[in-house]
Amino acid sequence: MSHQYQAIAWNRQKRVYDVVLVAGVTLYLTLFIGVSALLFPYAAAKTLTIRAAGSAAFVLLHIVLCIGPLCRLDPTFLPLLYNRRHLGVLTFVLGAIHSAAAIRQFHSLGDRDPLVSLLTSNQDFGSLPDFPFQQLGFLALMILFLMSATSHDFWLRNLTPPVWKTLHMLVYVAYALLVGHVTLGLLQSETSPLLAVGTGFGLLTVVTLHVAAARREAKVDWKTLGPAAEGFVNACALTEIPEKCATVVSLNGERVAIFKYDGKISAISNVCRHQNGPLGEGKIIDGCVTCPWHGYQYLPEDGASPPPFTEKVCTFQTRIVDGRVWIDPRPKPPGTRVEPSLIGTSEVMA
Amino acid sequence: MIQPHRKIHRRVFFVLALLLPALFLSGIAFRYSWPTTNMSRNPTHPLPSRAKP
Repeated sequence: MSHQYQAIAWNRQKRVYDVVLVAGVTLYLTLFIGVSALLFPYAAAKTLTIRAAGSAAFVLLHIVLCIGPLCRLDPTFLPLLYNRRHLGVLTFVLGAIHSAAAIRQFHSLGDRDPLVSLLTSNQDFGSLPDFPFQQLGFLALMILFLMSATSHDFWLRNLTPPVWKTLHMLVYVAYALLVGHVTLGLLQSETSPLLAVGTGFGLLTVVTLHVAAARREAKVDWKTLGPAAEGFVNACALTEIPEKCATVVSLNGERVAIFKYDGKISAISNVCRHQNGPLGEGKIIDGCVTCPWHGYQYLPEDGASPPPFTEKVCTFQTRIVDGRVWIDPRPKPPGTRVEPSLIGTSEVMA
Repeated sequence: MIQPHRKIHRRVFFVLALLLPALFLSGIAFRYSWPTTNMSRNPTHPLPSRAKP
């Protein structure tokens, strides 16, 4: 959490994550270069470096993009999300190695500046097979740089989570540019069906997972709540909420997490203050609602993080009538204490 | 607060879900068919009938 500044709050999970990540990438690069050198003995070392780093970055970007929807569809994947930013930074580093080696090989021997040469040597924007694909890759690299440079919590806090998240949604633009870079570059000169099938499979996986997760999310937003009475909305049945977990409902377009714990019901905003993670998909641990993304915690009664932490989320007033939870859709200011609704014996029986 | 984000995210991704497969398939469909070894590289000098490339 965040009560004092630390460059990186290392813990065991982060170290294990990074060791596995670096070991995996090293293994991939070694295997790629080793097998390629055996199969294509005349390939230059520079060419192998360009292809190994570029393909590793492209594969990593697919993994980065799949983690989000996988976590929405199955919480088993949540540990992958915990340190996803390090995956993104490594993707940029590999992309930068690929880019530097390619510029050195293809643009450094002329009389023009290599960057000028990269951006101006091919202007055939009207032709698909001759499209200047290198510019697409360069633009994608700039976006990945911007995202890596602002990936630290320092920027998250200063830019505010909504601005930061909007900025980091540029990853989809970078992905689109890279699909264009690979399709109009590598796949034009290398006609092996394996490469085309691999690229198509990656694209299909990313699109399918995102569409599946979006359909699931849309169900929450479009779910019709029961009729309102005295300013309260009939939100859900008590039996729908698992113990120490929440049911998420959408009120006036905003999501609210209704938690059941120790014979009580409390409702707080579903949006974590850290990275806007889904609090309603977390559990109550040690009496606190715990965000499933990075473990930020809030007390269910007042939506405030326990001292010394200072994060606060909105709370909502609740009622229990005939085994159903009713909720006042008007949010209380962040950190406002609201008495939990007590679950009576009759409701427990219901 | 977060609802506009979800809407933008959903819209951006649905646009990409249509655009990217179209780009990928067009890129594959319109790529040059490179000369293969069983035809002459020079159309004005075709391979002799018994030539084995």
